[in-house]
Amino acid sequence: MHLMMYGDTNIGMVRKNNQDSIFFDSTMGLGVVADGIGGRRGGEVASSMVVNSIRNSFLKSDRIRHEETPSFITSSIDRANKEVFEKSLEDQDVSGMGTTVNCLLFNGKKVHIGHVGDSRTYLYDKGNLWQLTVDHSVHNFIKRGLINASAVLPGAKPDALTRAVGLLEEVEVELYEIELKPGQILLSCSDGLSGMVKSKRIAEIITDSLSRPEKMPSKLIKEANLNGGRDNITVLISHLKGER
Amino acid sequence: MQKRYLIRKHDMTFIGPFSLSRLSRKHKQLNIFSADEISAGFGKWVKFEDISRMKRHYPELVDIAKDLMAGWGVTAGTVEKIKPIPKKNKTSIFGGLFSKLALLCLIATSVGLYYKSKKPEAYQKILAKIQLRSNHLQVLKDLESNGSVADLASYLQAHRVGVLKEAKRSKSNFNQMLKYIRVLAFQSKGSIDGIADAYLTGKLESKSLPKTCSEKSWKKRWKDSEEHLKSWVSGKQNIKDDWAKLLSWSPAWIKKRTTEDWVWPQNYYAACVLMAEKAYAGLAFDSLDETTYTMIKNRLSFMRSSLSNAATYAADEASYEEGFSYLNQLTCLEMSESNELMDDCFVYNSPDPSFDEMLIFRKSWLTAGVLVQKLSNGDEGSLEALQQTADTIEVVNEFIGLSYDQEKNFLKKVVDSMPGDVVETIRNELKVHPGVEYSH
Repeated sequence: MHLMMYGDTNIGMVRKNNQDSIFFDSTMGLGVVADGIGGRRGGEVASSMVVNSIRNSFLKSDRIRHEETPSFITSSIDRANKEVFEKSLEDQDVSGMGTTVNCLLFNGKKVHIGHVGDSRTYLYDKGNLWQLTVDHSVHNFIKRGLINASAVLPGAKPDALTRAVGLLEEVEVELYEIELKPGQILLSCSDGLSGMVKSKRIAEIITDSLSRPEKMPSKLIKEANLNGGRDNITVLISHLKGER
Repeated sequence: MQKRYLIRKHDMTFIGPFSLSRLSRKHKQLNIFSADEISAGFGKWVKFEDISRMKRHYPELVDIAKDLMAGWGVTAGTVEKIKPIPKKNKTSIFGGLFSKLALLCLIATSVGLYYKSKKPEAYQKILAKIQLRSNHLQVLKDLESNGSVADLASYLQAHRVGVLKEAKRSKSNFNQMLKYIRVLAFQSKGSIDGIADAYLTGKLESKSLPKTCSEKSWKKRWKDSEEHLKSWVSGKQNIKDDWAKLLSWSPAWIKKRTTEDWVWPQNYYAACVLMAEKAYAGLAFDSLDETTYTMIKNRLSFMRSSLSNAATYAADEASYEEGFSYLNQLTCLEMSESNELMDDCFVYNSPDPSFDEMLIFRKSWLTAGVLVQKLSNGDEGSLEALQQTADTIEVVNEFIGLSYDQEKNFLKKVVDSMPGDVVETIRNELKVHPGVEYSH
């Protein structure tokens, strides 16, 4: 059984630049999706900094044992956060920049996901799709009792971010763990996909492409653009190839 | 495709997916905690301990959740709804009607006997006049006082010609019978030949109200706007036409508005909803897509059923592939009985931000209502939240057009009474303004 990964990123139909970044390497078992925020160049710089920082952390590290994976992910994102935060203070051009991140690290069948923001990781299995990660948004935080509704201005948009990498000196990373079975697929994406294509349609596209999983990212990006492509779109597909 | 369930444990690990049958057989072996969540493919994540959301999203799992919780213990406490202020006891139809008729008969008999003996021609004329005057208005008043709208409506239908004739006999008659004429009008096509629509409308509280709500006028509105309906419902382009405003009206707001001179429907807003729905149902559109048609139909049906406290809504019957549907999200908010359920309603952002603003506007007033209810039940934890809300909440949204000035005054009085007896203030205000209830 071995890990296969496919990914792509696209500027979309409306934006003037692509503030998303992606990295994946199936031999490393590492995949990262980041969606930058902040005006002008800021988002693009933040997302690429985070992706590069996490990749470099992995390359510099010794072989990571399974029980070390969560702490590795957390410390990598933490390091990346500090780099982005300090850069945003030094360079006025990118002041206030930040980014979401979904970082997947495979160790055998188990995958740990480090998550900040509203980029998402889904699990696909036999035509069904589940959103694994919880969006770090205003309405989700209120729903989960993490902030009081009275602390939020009445005009605040429900999907406004409550966490992002690079905005503060420290960031709280949410960690998930799932054991992947052959035939199951993990989809990590920026909100340029999840905001433009309904879950059921995403699942349909994946189902239709099961025999050619390398085509999934481009098909999903195409669907998002057909629906308007209002944001940058990034898609990462991960699955285990082998007997179920 | 079989429905399957994934469990997200409180420590953010996952188990599953499982079929329902496997889950039913093995749930006790899975080491599930109350704070763990479950989701069917494409569905919401619901905690096992959240039975109200479980009933809403996964009724097939309620027994499993209750079975699991039987071993955990349940957090006590439910929110009591404000009890409605009881209406005055009405006298029975027989007591009221017969006593008045009996007295009338006595007088008529006495007068009749006098005239019969002294002036036979005059007797005949007076007898006829008495019979006419007591024929409809009095009967209608009695039927109204007994509270049976169905009986009132049946009587009006059966005696339509006579009732209208009696109403037109004098200004006094007309003014007294106008509320019954409204029943007659809105039972059928929302207009009466020979009576101006302005009388049926009554005094308008707001300039944003349609000047006429006849079925004919609504048919024209719907047909004229056919090419704009989809772009509005899907949140692409906002518009201030009467049909768009009406679809955004809150049934809860309508129910709180003045009912003076209205028996049924309860006010002009309610009448407009009825006629808009009736007109819509009778139309054949040239190019309107099925999804948009169904969404509008469902929204109108929800509004009308809500006004009679029997709200129904088939939210899953129609939705767009692209995601955002203003009407689905709006109705979802209005059907939610708690802040947690309201938060479930925000799924997609609208292409045109003004739709988000309308939804946020509605949600903020619904949230204020939840806070008032909690306060009236003695939950002092809601005090600070209500104070902040009262300071910042908006009174009107330009696209909806309805004013929440009464509600804002109510909130202000409650907040001004702090830190005194807030619960007493709420109860007193409800006595003065019994219509201003914050029930959903």
